[in-house]
Amino acid sequence: MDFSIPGELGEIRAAVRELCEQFPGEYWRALEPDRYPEAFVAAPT
Amino acid sequence: MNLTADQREIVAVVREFIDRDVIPFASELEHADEYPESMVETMRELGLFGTTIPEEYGGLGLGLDTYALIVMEISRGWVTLSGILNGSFIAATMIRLHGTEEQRQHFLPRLATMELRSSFSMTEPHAGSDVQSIRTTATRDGGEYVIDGQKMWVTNGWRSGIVMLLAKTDPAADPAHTGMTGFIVEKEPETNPPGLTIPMPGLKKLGYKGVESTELVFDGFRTPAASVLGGEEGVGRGFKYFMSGIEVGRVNVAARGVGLAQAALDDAIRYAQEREAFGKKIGHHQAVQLMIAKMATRAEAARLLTIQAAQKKASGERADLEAGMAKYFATEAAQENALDCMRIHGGYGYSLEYRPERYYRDAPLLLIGEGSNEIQQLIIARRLLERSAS
Repeated sequence: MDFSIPGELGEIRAAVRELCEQFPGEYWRALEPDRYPEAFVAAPT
Repeated sequence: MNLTADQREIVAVVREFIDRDVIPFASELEHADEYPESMVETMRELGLFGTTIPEEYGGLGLGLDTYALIVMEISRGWVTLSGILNGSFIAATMIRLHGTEEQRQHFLPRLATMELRSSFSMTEPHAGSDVQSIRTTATRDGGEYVIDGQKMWVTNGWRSGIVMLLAKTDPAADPAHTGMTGFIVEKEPETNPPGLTIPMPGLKKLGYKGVESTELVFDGFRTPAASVLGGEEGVGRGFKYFMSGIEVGRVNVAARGVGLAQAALDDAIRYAQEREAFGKKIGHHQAVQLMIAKMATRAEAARLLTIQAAQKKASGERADLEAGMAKYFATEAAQENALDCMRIHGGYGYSLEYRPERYYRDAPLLLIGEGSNEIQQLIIARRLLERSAS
């Protein structure tokens, strides 16, 4: 079986990981208890 | 289970108080993180703060087994109330067992009436289960000890008038526990006295709200030498004294687990008889019945283990094995029942409008506090291995 990730999918994964790294745990904790993550949603759009 | 007439009477009174004054209001106070002043006042009027304090010191003179029954009822309403009660209970137990006669006369009557609130302080930022690695020191200076160090997770830390404090009087002692001493530290409630800072509003928590859990930062705080628990003879014996406090505390936490497991079961049964799905009450579906059966069995087994441990400890026998089993099983039962209660409530269980979310947030503390459940399992296994080796 070949479990390697095809090139395009790997690029998407890397891009998503890079995006998420810009929003560490501190960002999410600061939103608690109920603020919407405006900046995170705006970033990829 | 055979209860005496006195036990039945006091449990019935507490049950009525919980049903009438606590269950309908607890979630609202909990969500606001508000101290339950009027509930505590009723508990004081009922004499609950003096449950195990001997009558000659102004208490009710009842045993640990009766106290456990009371804590089960109280926790069925709201675990936080048992945390407030336990501060006084654990201090009273340690002073009764290990204090000097003068200390008993000075503190017990005021603990019984709740004129004096108490807290228990052993844990530090870097040391929970590993008690021997605490760093807080108490250095003798004439007729006083000077306390330096930082304590953590002190329930009732701000409102208490005495702190049962464990510190190192001989930091070089080997083994470390022989250099530890217990103190009955008197302080003015709701203030930062010289040498002691209590950051408020305290530590933020997932649950167990309504009562403060604080840090205590000692920096040159002075306490009289007479505040050593047990007097001069108590120097170097603090570890043993605090472990005895923790052991009765374990029975108390087991009882909290029973109460919480029962509350989750009660709510689940009630909701199963109200909610309809697929043309009938959900309680008529076997999937829900299976959960109810497991919840009820857990709650009942937890109750029996806890009563057994409390009775054995109350009789003066060694009960670390039984207390460990009760604490471990009853608190896991609380956690499992809380989640099953939420499952049975479906989406409403996740809503703040219903109680399961509170049970779900309160239960994990019981797994962690008063000796984590991992520590309990080690105690159980080591005790059994010791027995078979002798």
